[in-house]
Formats: sequence, structure tokens, C-alpha cells
Amino acid sequence: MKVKAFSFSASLREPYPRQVTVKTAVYAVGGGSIQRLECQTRSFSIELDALDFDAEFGDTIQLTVADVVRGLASGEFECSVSECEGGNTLLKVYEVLLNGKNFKLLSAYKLSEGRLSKIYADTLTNLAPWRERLSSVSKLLDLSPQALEGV
Amino acid sequence: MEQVSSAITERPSIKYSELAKLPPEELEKTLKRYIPSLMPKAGVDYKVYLGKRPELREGERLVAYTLSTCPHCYALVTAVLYEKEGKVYERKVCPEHGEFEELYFGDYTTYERFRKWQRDGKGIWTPNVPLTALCPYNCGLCPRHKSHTALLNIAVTNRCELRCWYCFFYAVKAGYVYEPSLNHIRFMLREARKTLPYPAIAVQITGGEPLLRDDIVDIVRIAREEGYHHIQVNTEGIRLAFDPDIAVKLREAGTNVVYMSFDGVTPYTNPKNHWEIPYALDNLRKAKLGAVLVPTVIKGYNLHEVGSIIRFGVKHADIVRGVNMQPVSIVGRVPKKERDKLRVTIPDVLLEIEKQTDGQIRREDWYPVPTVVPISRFVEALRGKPQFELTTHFACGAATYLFWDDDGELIPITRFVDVDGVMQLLDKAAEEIASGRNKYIVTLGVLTKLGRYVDTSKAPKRFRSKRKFLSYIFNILVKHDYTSLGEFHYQTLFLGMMHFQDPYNYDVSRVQRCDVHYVMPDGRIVPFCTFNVFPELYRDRAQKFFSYEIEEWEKQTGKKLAEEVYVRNVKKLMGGEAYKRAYDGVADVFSIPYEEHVLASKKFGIPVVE
Repeated sequence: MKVKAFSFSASLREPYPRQVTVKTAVYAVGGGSIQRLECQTRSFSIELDALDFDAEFGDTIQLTVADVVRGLASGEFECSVSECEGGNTLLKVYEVLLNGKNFKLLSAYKLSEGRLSKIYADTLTNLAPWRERLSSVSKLLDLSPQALEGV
Repeated sequence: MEQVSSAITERPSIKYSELAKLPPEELEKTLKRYIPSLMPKAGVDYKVYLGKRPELREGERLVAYTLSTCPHCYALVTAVLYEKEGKVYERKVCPEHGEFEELYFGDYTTYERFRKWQRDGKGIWTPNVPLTALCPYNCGLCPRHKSHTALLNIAVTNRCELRCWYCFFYAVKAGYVYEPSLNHIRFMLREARKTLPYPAIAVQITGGEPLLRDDIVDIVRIAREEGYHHIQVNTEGIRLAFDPDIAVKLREAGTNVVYMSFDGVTPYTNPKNHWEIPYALDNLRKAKLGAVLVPTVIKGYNLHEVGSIIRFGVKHADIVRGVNMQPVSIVGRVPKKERDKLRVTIPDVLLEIEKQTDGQIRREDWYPVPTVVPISRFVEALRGKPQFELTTHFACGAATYLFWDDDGELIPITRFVDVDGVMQLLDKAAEEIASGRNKYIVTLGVLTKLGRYVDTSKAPKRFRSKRKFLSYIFNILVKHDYTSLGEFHYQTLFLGMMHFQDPYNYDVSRVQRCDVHYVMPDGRIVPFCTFNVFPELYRDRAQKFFSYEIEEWEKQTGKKLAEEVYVRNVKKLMGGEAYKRAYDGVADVFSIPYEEHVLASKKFGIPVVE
């Protein structure tokens, strides 16, 4: 199943200042282990990628394409899109630097009715402790928490 | 553009009278099943053209880019916000329908002052629809929405007894009757209460004219049973004027306030309910049910009366709790020249209020809605759980509190409270508690310092006791005793301003932060400015789907829609003591010849008994 992942750096002015950097790693999950996927990278296209960007970050870090467009008046946005070919169960790990604070967030996807559905996503505004989140994700993905330790 | 969803099926047709008979559980399941078929469809309902950004022209300074929509075909396009000669404008280009340019905010200085108060909410942790389309074609609420519902609207009918010339919404014109059953209404109200991190606690029952429903009191009762703390009924006030019992029944059932259209103090500016308002206010007085007056402000029509409207509010402050002005939202296809004659934005109205109150209420006395977020954050830090937050976009609304002295002097709260200072204090305190400092020590610090930001020597005489004033704040912030807020509210007049969007000034950044929502008949929660700005995609589509055919409704109820027309007796209304008393000292309504009164009513579309 093909999946997109975004890594970007944004310096936004409007409606309020935000500095955010996100690095995304994608892992295929199967047989009780995870494996980082190798991906093809290209530059961001608002027409091709806006919906996927919103789906990825609208809830997790509350950043949407509308925010990016709005914030760009005197700011910057550099984004690369990785297109990864992987399995039917995927884990994404986001390293987020938001206004000087570091966070690590997780989201998980499973193939359902021919499309990848998000079955788990951390959100910055409702963030449980890391161990708790690891435990939730490992249960959902049928993995031991140890398998996730290195992400 | 990705298609909405493979799950979308052809829209079925239903017979609402059959659906309304379903038991609650089955009704819920059935209603939710229709959601995919009612969602806007890419390529059918809208297109996406994000490839190009409009250019800036000479004399224009870039403020921001944003996403907007074409007023003609609803296509998503990129827009530029720019400053020119001290005002902020929006420009966008639809490849099919050309360029559109609109005033966005009438004063750049106010824009920047308001922008500094922007705070975002915590998002929606329990979205009602999956994210399958770009904003604003995915409402429900979707996972990218930023603000919880601060005020939920529920339309309970599309019937109306008025025939206002500009309205295409009411049942006779629409060609169907939208009137959800009580079970259906309970389902909708319950859906909005499920939202996390903060469920809806305030609801506005609206229409059409909701008081036309014989079971309106039951609807209020249901809202109370479903856990709504604040219930307001939005009405044109006609029935309130003639039926004193309805005001009592509404209050007893749990209504907190009546939201009443009030566009001016003369028949020319308020032909909708100028003659009835005095009687409606008297009946509300008897019932001890407060009112908020809601003027729609239009340039060239009633902008010159905003000061008088506020004075009218102050005159009736024993029963009027607030005046909430709404700069006009221009719907339908209106040529630019015509729009320019009507268009006003929040700063334009603020400036007029300043002029018309001889500087007693200045522009600087108003703050954008999210200004109060630090209060929520502080209470949240104290209590350790999410609180009600007003995180709407800074350009959407503004407010202040107005006090007055016996000599008639108007005194905004900002004359004696340093709002900036208080909010900074609370913000800092919330941060300190969040970073682990003892909350009791921090709170003590806040209470000690709070007095520095209040200068009661400049307050109205009845508020000169600093102790009393601070006790209100203490009760609200620390004891979470909201009876204090009520007590405070009853001695002030809330002045609000809410600029709902329209197709010409649309801004997706604003709608993603919207906190005034509608619950749809299928349970989706939709921001006000998608519900009403794209009626074919949201409001009308859903209401028509869940409606009765007129003939069927008339057969079922024994009523005739065509007979539900209000005919005004201007002479009788003008002859009453309440009428004279209501406008005395605010507007010289008796200097206007009777014939002019009649003409104003008729021109508006309301027939008159002669």
C-alpha cells in the first residue's frame, strides 16, 4: 500500500507566530516487528497534497494547509513529501519541534476496505505520557512495547 | 483532487413522516446512515483551484494569504489579504468566474490589535466525520476543526409568519416544511453533547420562527434535560408581544434569554418589529426573562443608528442583557457596486459607535472574542480539566461591557479595568501552574495583584467599592460560582459584535476556528459560516432531505401555511402606552406621520390592517 509522509519546517506569522519543524519516519508493521520504510521524496504540491497534509496534521499538531497558507505572508514553509511503499499496517513517528519544545508523536494505520485508515493518532492538545501511548499503540498493532522502544 | 469517499452512494429519498415515527435508537442509526450521501461531493458540488495566488498591485501591502471560495461556484481558491489606505481587503480569482475583491476589515490598526489576542482551541477529539475533503467541504465537525462549540444552534422549523422581502428560507418559499420531531430534536441535542474536549453547553433554538411551534416549551425542556446550561430562543418577538404567557412558559421551562432581532429605533430602520418590540419587552419584564437585542448593521440603512440602539438597550437594561450587533452578511449574487453600498465590517461599526456616543464608547474599548481565553486557561490550570474556551478567529467578533451612571454617562469596563493587564496576569499564572508551581500559591498571588488592575474611582458610582467588584472576580475565578457572573451581568449591558461571513469575504482560517455551530438533522455539527454560506451543500440540502411536503404537513397538522401570515395593526400598536414609553427619549417616533409607518411596514413585506 502506498503512503505519503511529510517532513517540513514552517515559520508562520499569521494569525499568531508559530515555528514548527516536523520529521516523519514511516514503519511497516508485521510479524511482531517493525521496519523503517525507504521512500521516494519529492517537493510539496498544494494541489496534490493539501488533503493528505490536513489528514496528517490537522488533528495531531493542529496545523492545516489553511494555516500554512495564512501564515506565509512573511514566513517560510519548506516541505518534502515522501511516498513510501509498504505493508498493510503502518506506524508513523513524528519528531516535532514546536516553538522550541520537542515532542514525539505517533499515528497508526491499517488497511480497511481497500484504503488505509487511521486507527490511532496522538494529539498535542491531549497527550498522554509516552509509556502510555506506546502501550496503546503496541496493543493496537499487536506488537510488544519493546518492539517500539527504538522509534 | 481526491474524491470525497468511495462510501458515497446516490442520495436516497425518504418520507419524513415515516422516519419521525421510528423509536429513538433506530432513528439515530437511520439518521447517521444518511451522512455520506449528504456530504458535499468533489467535482460535483465544488472544485479546487489552489495553483495560483492573486498578485499584489501598486499601493497594496501584503497582510496574509488565505483560502477562500468563489462566490459563484464555491470552488476553493487562494486569496490575498492586503492593506490599502488603512483598510484590509480580500482579493481572489476563480478561473471560471473571475476576480472578486471585498472589504475584509475596515481598519488595519484594529486588525493588528485584535490579531495579537488570537489563541487556538484544543481541537475536536471526537470528530463526527472522517477527514475526506478539504475545508470547508468536510464539516461535521471534522478532525481539523480547532474550536469546540460555544453556542449550538438548532433550527426547529423553517416556518415563519413574516414575509421579509429578502428571505428565501421560510417554508412557503422553500416549498417544504422542515420541522424535526421531538425525538429527532433530542437526538440532535444529544449528539452535540458528546463532543470532547468540551461538550456544547449553550444552545440557541432558532428557525424560521421557533415560537410558531406549539411544542416550543417542550423543546426548551428537552434541551434542559439534555444538559444545556444556557438556552436562548431566537425570535422576531411577534408572538412574545401578543402572548404574555409564552414568555412565562419559556422561562419556567429553562430559557435563559431571548435573542431578538432589533435593527433600529425607527420604523424606517426596523420595519421587522419596531411596533411589537415595546410589548415584547414588557411581557419579558413580567416573565423576568431577559432579552438580547440583535441588530443586523447595514451601511446606508441603519449604521447611523448604532448609538441610538445602544441607548435603547441602556434604557431597557432592566430586561435587556445585551446588544449583539451583526455587520451584514451579503448572501446571494450581489454586484460589487451594490455590495459596496451595504458592506460594513466590525471596525466600521466600532467607529460609528464612537462617533454616535460622543466618544463615550471608543474603538479601543472593544476586544476580540479570544481575549478571554486566559480566564479559561487559568481556571483549567486550577481545576485540571478542559474548560469552556472562546477561541474563535479574532476577525469574527468583538465585545465589551458597558456600565452607566444615573446622569446617563456610558462607561465601558475598560475605563476602570486594565483588561490587558488582567489577561496577562492570568496567562502567566496559568503557565506557572502548568509548569508545576503550587496552584494555591499562584492563585493567592493573582488575587493579591488583581486589585492593581482595577481603578474603581473611575467606575460607575454603584461599583466604587473595590472590595465588591473584586469579590465578583474572586467568586468567578476561584469559587467557580457563576451566580456571581449573573449578578455582574445584570448590572451591565453586554455589547457584542459578530460578523458572520458571506461568499465574498470568506476566509477558511476563520471557519476552522468557528465556535458558533449548527447541529444538522443527521447529527453533524457544522460551523455557522458553512451552514449558511453554502446552503446548497449544508443547510438546505439537509433540511430539504428531512422535511415534509407542504401538503402532507398541512394534512397532518390541520394548519394552512398560507394563512400563517402576520398582519400588523400599526394604529393599535402605536396607540399603546408601552410603545410611547419604549422609545421616549431615544427616538421621536411620533414625529413620523402614520402613513410613513404603514409604508415602512408594507415595503418590508408585512401587510397592515388599515
